[in-house]
Amino acid sequence: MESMIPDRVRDILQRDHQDEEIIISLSSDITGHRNYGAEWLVVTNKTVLVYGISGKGDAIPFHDIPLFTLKKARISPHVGIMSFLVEPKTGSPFKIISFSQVLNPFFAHAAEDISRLANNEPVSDKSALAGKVCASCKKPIPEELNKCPRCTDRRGTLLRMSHFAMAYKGTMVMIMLTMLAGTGFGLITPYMSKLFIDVILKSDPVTGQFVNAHWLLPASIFLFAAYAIQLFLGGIQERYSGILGYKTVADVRQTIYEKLQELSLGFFDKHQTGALLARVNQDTQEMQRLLVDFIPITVESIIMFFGIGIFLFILSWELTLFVLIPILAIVVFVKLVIPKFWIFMHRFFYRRSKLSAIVADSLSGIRVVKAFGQEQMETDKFQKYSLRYRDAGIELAKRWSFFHPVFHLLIMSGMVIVWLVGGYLVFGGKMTLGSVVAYSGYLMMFYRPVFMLTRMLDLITNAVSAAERVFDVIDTEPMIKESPDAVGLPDLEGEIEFRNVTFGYDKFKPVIKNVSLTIHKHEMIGLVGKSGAGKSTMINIICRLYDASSGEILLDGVDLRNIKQNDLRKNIGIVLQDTFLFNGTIYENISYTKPGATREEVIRASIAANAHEFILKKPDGYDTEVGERGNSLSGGEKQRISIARAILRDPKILILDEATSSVDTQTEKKIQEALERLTKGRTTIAIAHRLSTLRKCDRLVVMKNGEIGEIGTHQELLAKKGIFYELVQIQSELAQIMAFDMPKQEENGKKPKSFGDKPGGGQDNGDEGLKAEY
Amino acid sequence: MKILTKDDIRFEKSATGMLNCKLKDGTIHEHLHCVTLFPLTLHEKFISVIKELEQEIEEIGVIRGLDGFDEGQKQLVRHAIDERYFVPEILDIRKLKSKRSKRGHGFDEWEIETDRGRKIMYLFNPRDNMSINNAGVIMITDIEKNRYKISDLEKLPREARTILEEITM
Repeated sequence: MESMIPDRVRDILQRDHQDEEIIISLSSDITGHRNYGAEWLVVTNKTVLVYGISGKGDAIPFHDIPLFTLKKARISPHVGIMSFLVEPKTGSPFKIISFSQVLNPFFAHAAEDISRLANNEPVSDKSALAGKVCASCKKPIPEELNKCPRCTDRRGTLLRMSHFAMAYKGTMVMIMLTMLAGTGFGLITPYMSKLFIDVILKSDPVTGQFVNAHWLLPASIFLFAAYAIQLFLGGIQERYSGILGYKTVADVRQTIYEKLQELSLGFFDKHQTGALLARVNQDTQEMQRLLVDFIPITVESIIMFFGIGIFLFILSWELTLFVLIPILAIVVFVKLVIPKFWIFMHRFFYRRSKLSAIVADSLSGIRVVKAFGQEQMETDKFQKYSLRYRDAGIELAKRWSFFHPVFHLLIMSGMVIVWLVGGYLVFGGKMTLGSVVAYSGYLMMFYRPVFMLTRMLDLITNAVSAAERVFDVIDTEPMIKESPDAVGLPDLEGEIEFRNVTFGYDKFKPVIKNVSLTIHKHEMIGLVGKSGAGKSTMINIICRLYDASSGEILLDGVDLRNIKQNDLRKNIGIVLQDTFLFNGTIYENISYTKPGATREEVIRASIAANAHEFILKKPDGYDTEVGERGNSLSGGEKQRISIARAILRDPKILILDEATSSVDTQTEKKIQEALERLTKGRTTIAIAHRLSTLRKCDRLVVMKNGEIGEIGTHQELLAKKGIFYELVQIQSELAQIMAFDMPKQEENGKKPKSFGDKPGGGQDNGDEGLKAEY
Repeated sequence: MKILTKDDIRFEKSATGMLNCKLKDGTIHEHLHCVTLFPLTLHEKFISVIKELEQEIEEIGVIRGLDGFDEGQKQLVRHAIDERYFVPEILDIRKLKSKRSKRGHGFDEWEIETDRGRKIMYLFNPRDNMSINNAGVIMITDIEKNRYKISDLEKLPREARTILEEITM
C-alpha cells in the first residue's frame, strides 16, 4: 500500500539518494525472514530500494538496484505469500520483497511501473488503485469484496432492506395495526381473571351472597370474545407479514438474479457457483425470515414488554421487585448459557450435513466404488461420520437434559415467588387474591418478550449478514458495460482485427501479449498451440466475455466496445467441445439460440448438422428430454445439437472450440461434414488439438506463451519446420504409440487410430506427404 | 520420478539470494524452488525441487526427506519451502471479538499468536472457513485469503482449544 516511509528509513534514503525523486513507496506485511512485519519498497526515478528494520530498530537497506540495470519486475504468486521479483538485463530474476495477497494490487502496480521506468516509459495511472483501500479505515480491501468488510454499516443494510419493503406500505400499516390491536386484547385477558376472582366470584363477607353473579355470563362472553379477537387479529397479521415477506424477497431475488445475468464472466471466475446459489436461495430466504418473523416478533415483543411491565407494576410494585430476580437470572441464562447450547446444536446439524454429503458422494460415485472394490472402505468411512453424528446427537440430548429443566425451573421460580410473596401481601391486605392470579398470568406472558428480545439481536444480526451478502452482489458493477453511444451492426461482414491486444484474467498476469492479427471475412483460421498458450482466451475476448486490458479489437472496423452487445452476440455462433444442454427437449435446446424459430427451421438446421438422423431414432424424436445437462445423449449427439444451434443462429462469425474431439471416428466424420456446411460463407475461428482437423483452414495461427509464434498455411508452416512442425511431430509420435496399442482394430478391418485417419486425413485431398508425416 | 538423496544434490545460495544446486553428475541448475508435495499431511517429506520456466515447470527431482542432509542444506531447503508456502501455525488465540453489533462488521476479529508473529485475522463465518482434514489438521482461510493451520489442537492452550473445538468439531 502506498504508505508513509518511517523516519529512520527516510533518513538513510535521503543520505544515500538525496537528489532522487521518490515515485513509489510501499510497505509489505511479511518480512524477508517470513515473519509478520513490514519492509519498504521505495522506487525513485533512478533506483529500486528495499529497506527493513533491524531488531534494534535501525533501518537497513536490503537492496539498492539502479533502474537502468533492470529489464522488468513481476509478481510470483504462491500460497499465502507473494514474491516481488526483479529481472536484471543480464542474469536471473531474483526476489526483493514478500507480501500477502491482500497487497497484490499495489505491488502488481509497482511491478508494472518499475518495468516502465526501466524502459524509460512514464509510470501508469494509479487511479485504479483508489478503490482498493478503504476510505474510512485506510486498510486494503480484499480483492473479491467490493467494500471494506470492516466498515460496512449495518444500519444502512437494514434501511436498504426496508426500501424493498416500502413498496408495500399499505401491507406494513395493516401489520402494525393488527399487531397493536391484537396485543391490546391479549393484555386484557389476565386482567379478566382479577375481575372474576375479586368481583364476580366474591361473596359478600356479611351476607355470603354473590352480589355480582349477574356479571358472570357477560364477563365470560367478553373473555371469549377477547381471546377470539386476539387470535383472529394474530391470524390477519401473520397473513400480511407473509405477503410482505414473500413479495419483498421475490423482488430482492429478482434483482439479484437479473444482476447475475448482467454480470461479466470475470465475476463468475471469482465466485463459486455454489456460493452464488446460496446467495440467491438461502440468503434471500434468511432476509425473508427477518421480514416475516423477526421484525414483527421484535416489534410485538417490545409492545408486550412495556405493556405487561406496566400492568405488573400497577398490580403490585413490591411483587415486581421480587419477580425481577428470576427474570434477571433468565436474561443471564439466555444470554450466556443458551449460546453454549447453540454450539452443540450447530455441531449436530453440521455433522448431519457432513454425513449426507458423504452418502451423496459415495452413491454418486458408486460405479467407481464397485469397480475398485472399495465397498468396505466406503462403509468404514460412513461409519466414522455416522458415529460422529450419533455422538453429537447424544451430546445434544445430554446438554438439553440439563438446560431444559434449569430454564424451566427459573421460569417456575418466578411463579413460586409470586405465590409466596403475593401470599404474604394478601395476608397483609396489600393485594387481593385476584391481583395475584392476574399477576401470575401476566408474568407467564412476560417471559416470551424477555426471551425474544434477548435472543433477537443475534437472530437479526445473522439475517442482516445474509442481506449484506445479497446487496454485495446487487452492488457489483459489471466489468463489461455497453457504451452509451454503442452502434448496431445489423449487416456484419465478419472481418476481425486485433490491434496490439493484451489481456489477462488477472490484470497483472497477461495471457495474451500484444497480439496483432487480421482475420478476413469468410476466412477460416485455425488457432494452434499448447494448452495455456492463449487460444481460448483469444476467443473469449472476441466474444467480449472479457475486455482487452490494452489495445483494441475491431469488427468490420468498429471497436468491439462500441458495438451493441446484442448485435455482437447475435453475429457470433459457438460450438464448444463440452456442449452444455439445458434441461428440456432436443427441440428446446436447438431453438435456444433463436427463440421463436419454427419447427421446420429447427429440423432443417438439424439435418444440416447431421443430427436429424439420430433424433429420428429416438422414440420421442425432437421431444426427447435431454436429461440434466444432456446426460441422456452421447458426446457426439450433444455436439451435433450444438452445431444445429449454431446453424440455426446463422452467425457471421463462427467459433469452433475443440468441436470434434472426444468422439469416435465415425461420429467425427459426421460432425466434420456438418461443420463444413456450417463454415461456408462465414468467418471461422477453429481451435483443435488434433492438428490434422485444421487442414481445411485458410491460415493457421500458432500461439506461444500468449504471443503469435507463426502464421501461415498448413503447408507453409510444415515447410518452415518451426513451432507448428514441432507440435505435429509430438502428435505424430503419440499417434504411433496409439496405433501400436490398438492392433486389434486393424484386425477387425478398421484402420489403425492415428492422426492420418482423422476426418481431415480421411477425406484427404491427396496430400500423401503430409499423411505420411502424422 | 527422480529421487534425490543427500549424495545426489548440493544446494547453494546465489549472490542474489536465489537457490541453485549442483547434481552428482556435475550439472548445475539455477533459480530453483522447493515445493512440499503433501504440505498439510507430511512435514518436510517428499520435497520437489523445481525450476520455473516461462510457462512450464521442470522438476529436477524429489527429495524423500531431509534426514541425513547437513544442517546448512536443511536450512536452504526449509527457506525455499517457506518462500512459496506461507501458512503460519496458530499457537494461541489472544482475543476473539465478535463484531456483531452496532456499527459494521458481519465477522469475527481474531487476534492470534502464530509461529510467524502476532496477527489479526478476520473471518466471515468461522465454520465455513475452517476445515479439518483426515489427518486432523485444521485449516483456516481468512477474508484476505491468508491461510493458517493448526497441526495439533491438543497443543493449544485450553481456552483457545475450547473456542476451536466449538467451531470445528
